[in-house]
Amino acid sequence: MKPVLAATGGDVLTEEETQTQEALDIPWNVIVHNDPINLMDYVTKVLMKVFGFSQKKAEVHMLEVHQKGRSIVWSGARERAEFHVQQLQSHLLLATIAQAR
Amino acid sequence: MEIQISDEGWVFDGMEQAIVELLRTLPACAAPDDDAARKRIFSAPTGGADADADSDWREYVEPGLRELFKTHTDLVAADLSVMEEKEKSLTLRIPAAHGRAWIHTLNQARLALGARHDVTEDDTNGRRHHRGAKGFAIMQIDFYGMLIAMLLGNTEL
Repeated sequence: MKPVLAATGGDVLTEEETQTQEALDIPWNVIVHNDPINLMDYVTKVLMKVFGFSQKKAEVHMLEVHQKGRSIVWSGARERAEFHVQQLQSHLLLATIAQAR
Repeated sequence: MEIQISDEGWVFDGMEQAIVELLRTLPACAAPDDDAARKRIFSAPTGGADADADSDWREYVEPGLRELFKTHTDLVAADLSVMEEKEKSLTLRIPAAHGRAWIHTLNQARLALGARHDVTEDDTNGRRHHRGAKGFAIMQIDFYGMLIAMLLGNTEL
């Protein structure tokens, strides 16, 4: 990360630390994307298995994917988000991570 | 064709030659050997937004996924290799323990076919009709989807 303040010793370090902490605090979203192939029932079942969603909650996300093209299904720490994407991809869902804004 | 479902699994009895051929091509259809299929089956976790993260994923995560997918496909190929011939029809037995591998391989084949033939939502919901290779691919996608829907009811993912 590039320092924002002029190099005045401690000020630079403080700003860098603040920005780093802010970056760490911003959650990462796990996003499931629509594709024309995966069956709706299958997507629902995968979301239930990977996230422990109820059938109703999984169906809400599945329909959001189908109707809006994507759904944020989980938010949190990057490492955990990557783990969830790996699980979703192991079931062949089109899933990505992106930092929330 | 008659389908029997029990706790032990599924038995597809009296399969006609056309259905047998569709099943026999399943492992080959699922293979991510071309760019289009590979890109869909092993999609990038940031969708290209973070090249370094996508590159790390390819190096560290993709081999594990590839191995898992191959395990599924190998199980399906093994079940297909022992189909029993009765008169002029064949019987396929899918043990219950192989249900997940079958669902995965059927789905992988559908996704790979969809990527290879640039299949869209209009194609899969019947709003657009095709002949030739794409039309055949859409028929395969529909057939494999029908099997997934049937297996899904009795399988823990």
